Amino acid sequence: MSEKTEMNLFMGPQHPSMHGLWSLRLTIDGETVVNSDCQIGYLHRSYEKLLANRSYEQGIPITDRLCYVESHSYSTAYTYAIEGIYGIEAPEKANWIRIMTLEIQRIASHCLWLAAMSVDLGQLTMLIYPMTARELLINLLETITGARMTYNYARIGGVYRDLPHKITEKIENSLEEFTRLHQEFLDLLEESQIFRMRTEGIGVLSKEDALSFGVSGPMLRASGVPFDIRKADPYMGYDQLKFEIPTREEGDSFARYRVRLEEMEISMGLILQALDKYNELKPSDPYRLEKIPRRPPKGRIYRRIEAARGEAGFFIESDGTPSPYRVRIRSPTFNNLAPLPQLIKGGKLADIPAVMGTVDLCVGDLDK
Amino acid sequence: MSVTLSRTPEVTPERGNNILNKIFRFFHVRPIYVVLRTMLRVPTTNLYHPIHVSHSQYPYVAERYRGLLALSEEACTGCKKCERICPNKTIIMQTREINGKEYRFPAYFAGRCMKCGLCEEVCDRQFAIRHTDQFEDAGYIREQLFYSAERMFDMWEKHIQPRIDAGIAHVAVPDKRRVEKEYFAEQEEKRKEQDKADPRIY
Repeated sequence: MSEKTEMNLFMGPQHPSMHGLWSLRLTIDGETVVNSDCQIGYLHRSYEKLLANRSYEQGIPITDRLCYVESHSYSTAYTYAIEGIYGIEAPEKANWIRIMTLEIQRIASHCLWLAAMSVDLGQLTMLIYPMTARELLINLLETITGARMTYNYARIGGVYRDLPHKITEKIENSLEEFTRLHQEFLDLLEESQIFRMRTEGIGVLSKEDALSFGVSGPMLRASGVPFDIRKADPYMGYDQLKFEIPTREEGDSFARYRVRLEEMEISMGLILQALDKYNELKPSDPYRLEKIPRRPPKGRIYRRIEAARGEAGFFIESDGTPSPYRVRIRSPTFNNLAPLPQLIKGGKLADIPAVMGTVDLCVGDLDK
Repeated sequence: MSVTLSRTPEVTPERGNNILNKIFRFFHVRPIYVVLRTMLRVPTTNLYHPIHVSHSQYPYVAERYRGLLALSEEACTGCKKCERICPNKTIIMQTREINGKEYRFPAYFAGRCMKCGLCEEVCDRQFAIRHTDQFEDAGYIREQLFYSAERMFDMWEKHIQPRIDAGIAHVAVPDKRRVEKEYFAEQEEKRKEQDKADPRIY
C-alpha cells in the first residue's frame, strides 16, 4: 500500500529566522526538503514610483530607506546615477569621503549580518560581539553624517558636509579596536566544530548556476567568480587604491561566511588608504559642486556600485523635468534569493537557516 | 596568525587542520577562552534615564545630530523654501495676523518628519530653521507631536540660542524683528484658557 508522506510547511512571514517579511512554502518528506517556493512582496512600498513622484534632491532621503542595514550605499548609488544624467563629476575630495563612508558602511552591514546569521545557527553568544563592533563604526558614521541609521549624507555632486575635525585619529583608533574584535569573531565561530559541521558542504552554489541566476556580491565570489564592480568597473577613484578581491572555490555556506569576513579586512585597509588620499588635499578644496540646475538634460543612464550585498544599480530616465520620468532599481538581494530553492532542495529542514543566513537577506531591499 | 591593521590590506588565513587545532575545535577551546576573557572586560552598555542628563553615562549625541526642529522668529522670512523641499510634506505654512498684517511661519508634524535635514540645508541664507540635538520626541497624544511656530520658537530659545551665545553654533542672520513676543504670549494664554474651557480639543 503506497502512502503519501509529503506535507506542506509554511516558513514565515512571521518567523524569527526569516530576516523580515517573506514566506517560504516548503514541501517536505520527513526531514527532507522536496520542493520550495519563495513568496515575496509583503514589504512592497513602490519605491520606483515614489522616486518618480519627487524631485531628484527629495529622492535621496527616500533611497536611504531602501535597506535599513546599509542605507548610505543606496543613496550614494542614486546620486551617482543622477550625476550621470547631469553629466557632472563630483570633486576629488568628495570621492574620497564617499569611498571612506561606503567602506565603513560595508563593514557595519557585514557585522549585522554576522550577528543575525549566527543567531540563526543557534550561536546566541555571537549576537553581542558583532553588535559591539558595529557600534564603533556607527559612532564614526554618526560623527561624520549626523545620524545613526538613515544618513542622508550623499548629495548630487558631492557630500553634505566636509569631514569633522580630528576624524583621522578617531577612525584609526576605532579600526584598531575593531581588528581585535575581528580576531574574536574568527575564534568564536570558525574554531568551533559545530559551526563547521553545520556550514561546510551545505547549500553549494556552482559557478554556472551563480552566473545564470545573476547572483552578485560576496555570494558570487564565494562560488569562484572573482567579479567585483570596484575592480571590474571602477567608480569614484577605486582604481587608484590597492586591494585584492577575496574569492573562494567551494560555493558552500562556509565559503560565503569566510568571504564576507575577509572583505571586512580588505575594507579596513581601503578606509585608511582613502583617508591618506583625503589628508593630502587642502582643507579649502571643495567637497561639493555648487549651483546645480534644477532641470537635468534629457537622457537615460544606468550606473552601479558594489554594495555590501552585491550590485546596487539605478536606471534613471529623465525627460527634462525636475523629477525623473522613470527609475528602475536593481537590488542585489532579489537576484541573490533566486537560487535559494535550488540550494535547499534535497537538504534537511534544519539546514535552511544555515543556507538562508549566508545569503544575507534584507527584505526592504528585496521588495523595494 | 592574527588580524592586523595595515594600509595594504591582507587577508588573515584560516588556522591549519593539524591535530592540535582539531582537538581544540572539538572541545570548543578557543570560543570558551574568548568568552571568559570578555567577562573581565568593562561593560560596553550604558545606563540611560532622563535624570542622567548631567551624568557621564548620558548617551553620546554627535554635534551634527539632527533632532527636533527649531525656528528663529527673528530670521524667518516665510519664504516657503522648507515647505517646498520637504519630501514628506510634513512642513506646512501657517498664516498669522499680527497688527493687521499677515505673516507666514512654518509648522510641522514630528510624527511624519524623517529628520533628513533638507529644510535646514535649503535655509542657507537666513539660518532660520535648525535641527536641535533633542531626540526624546515621543508623546502620549497625537497633538503633542504637532509643533506649531510657537513651540519651534521655544525650542530655539532653549537649545539653539545658548549654543550661539557660547559660540558653538552658527550665528543667525538678524532680520528686522516683526514679531512681538508679548503678542505670542497672549495668544498662547488665550489658547490655554480655551483648552481648559473645552477639553474636547485634545
